[in-house]
Amino acid sequence: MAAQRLSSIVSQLTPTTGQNPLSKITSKNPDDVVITLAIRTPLTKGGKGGLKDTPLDGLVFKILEQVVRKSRIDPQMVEDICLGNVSDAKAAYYVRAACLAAGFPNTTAASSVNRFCSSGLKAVQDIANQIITGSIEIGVAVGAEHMSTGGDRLTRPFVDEIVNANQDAADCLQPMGQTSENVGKDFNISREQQDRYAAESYRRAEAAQKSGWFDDEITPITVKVDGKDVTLTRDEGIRPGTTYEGLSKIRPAFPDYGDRSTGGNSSQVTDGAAAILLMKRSKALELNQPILAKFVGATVAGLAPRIMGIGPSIAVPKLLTKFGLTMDDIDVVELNEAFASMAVYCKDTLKIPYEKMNPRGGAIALGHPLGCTGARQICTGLSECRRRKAKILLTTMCIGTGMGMAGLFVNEQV
Amino acid sequence: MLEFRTPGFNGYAVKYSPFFDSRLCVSTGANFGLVGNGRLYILGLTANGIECEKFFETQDCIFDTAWSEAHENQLLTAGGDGSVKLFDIGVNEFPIASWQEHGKEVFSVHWNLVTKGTFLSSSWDGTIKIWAPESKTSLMTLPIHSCVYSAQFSPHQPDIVTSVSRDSHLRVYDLRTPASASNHLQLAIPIHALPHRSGIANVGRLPAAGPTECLTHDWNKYRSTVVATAGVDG
Repeated sequence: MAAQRLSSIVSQLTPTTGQNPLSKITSKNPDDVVITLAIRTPLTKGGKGGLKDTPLDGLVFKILEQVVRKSRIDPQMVEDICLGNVSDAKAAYYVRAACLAAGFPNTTAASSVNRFCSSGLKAVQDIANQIITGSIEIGVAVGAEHMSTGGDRLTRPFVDEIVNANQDAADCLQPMGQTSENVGKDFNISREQQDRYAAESYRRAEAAQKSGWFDDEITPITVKVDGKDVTLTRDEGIRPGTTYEGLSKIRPAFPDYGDRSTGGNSSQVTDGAAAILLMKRSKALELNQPILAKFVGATVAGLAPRIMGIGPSIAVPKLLTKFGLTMDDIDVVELNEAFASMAVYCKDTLKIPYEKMNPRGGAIALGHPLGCTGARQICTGLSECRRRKAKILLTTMCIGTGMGMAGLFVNEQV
Repeated sequence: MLEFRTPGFNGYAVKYSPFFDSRLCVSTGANFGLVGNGRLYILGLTANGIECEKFFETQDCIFDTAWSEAHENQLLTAGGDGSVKLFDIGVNEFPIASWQEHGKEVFSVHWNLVTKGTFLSSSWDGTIKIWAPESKTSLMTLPIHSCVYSAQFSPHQPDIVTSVSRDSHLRVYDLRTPASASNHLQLAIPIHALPHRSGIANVGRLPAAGPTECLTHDWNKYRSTVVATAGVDG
């Protein structure tokens, strides 16, 4: 009898009677992890753009300064900052020193994570998990990459035992362009399909930029370019007037591996940073922080390294199944366009209605600063959700060496 | 603000006496009502704060209590063991009456505020029973088929009974109607489906909600057609 009373009360605490999966994830509970700030720098061209002279530590410093300024949170309350970055082995030094310089006290800790192109999302997941388990109450996830400095490729092959162990291990040596050509060939994504997809990405990005849609995501920063102070406000990767015809003339970028991926239908080499401030809903209400969105969850899935591009087609179903959702329940999808080959494959395989997917263009037009992207997608996706008055955001990306990651968010500023 | 502690027992209901403005009763159960004894405290508000006049112990948790409207020293308890008991403050230790008809926990008891001669109880066994203190058995049983967390007589019309239950419905019964297949049931209002009428003020935007258990309700004492409910969905 006591057991019956107990189970009756427990079922009242986590009511499932009549609740469909969508109302379960959109329900507002005090322990939800919520996002109270999501900002990014403009994305600039690697090697020659506005951030070329701002190395990673300077970039992280700038975005963290903006976090303090825009969130109006007392920096003392932030307990941990996690930087997602791929290329720089010194990333952990940089984020720690940068946060101390940006206004955080030395009681705020910092760390870095690297899961290649998903590092920004992994940083969000790291902070969120700490909040969920009670390790911290408030944290900042940063995604930043200074591709102008380089350093994202291996400098030597793996040891013989690894290379000779099996095909998958050896395939981790493949450069990303090779994996893109593998996807194009294995799944019959033609050069024309890829160029048409890329043209549409450019068209959407150009329209979004002209309409000012990016204005509420981008936080302008002032940096030195060739010794002079410049305030950066706009994404530089967007090439206005890009057409399919123009793209179809570009020479293949990876002729050793294939002839379908080009500089025009692949993600650009880009510098940029983004930051996400996270805490529990109860804490956000207590501190009067605006609740932008709820972080529902994220997951990673592994697959064959040689076709790493199809990562989202594995990670997304895995994530949606965990929450009992289907693609119909999702309002906006931010799918990283590492290459048009995988973008087309994933869109078709996951049956994502194109009007939901990358409505502001993607990495082909905007750029893919590796570690930044995972956080950048959240900024763009939430801004688009606000614009459409839509709720459910799915972000996803493929990951070099054969993985995919996906994250689920509920926009609460409808 | 005055405070009284019931150590070892967790409160489930507190009621002012309709006869004495300084008398209260509190129904409690050990271990948050999950398992263990129950205790009914009779408290008095004095110049020295709240004092306990006496308490009664029961075998199981007491989920609700209600003062008699007819007798100034008597009160009812709704027991976790399915019993409805009538206590008299002047009689120590034991209830002056005990009715064991419900098959499961009784979650609420309510005395008729208008005719004052009857009371009701509602239970997890899915029924509401109407009683009179003189009668050894219940006068009427209303079947709901779903755990009834709360039931009340209308304070305006003595033959109207309302209930809320686990199946997320507010039900209205009229005891004057002849017993038939509908068992006096007049209205069954699903609480979760909010009617779209301009008269209802929406605070913010209410999401479309699924059925959730409704745990309590109360009549508006001044407006004879208004009832408030509260439930698991918050």
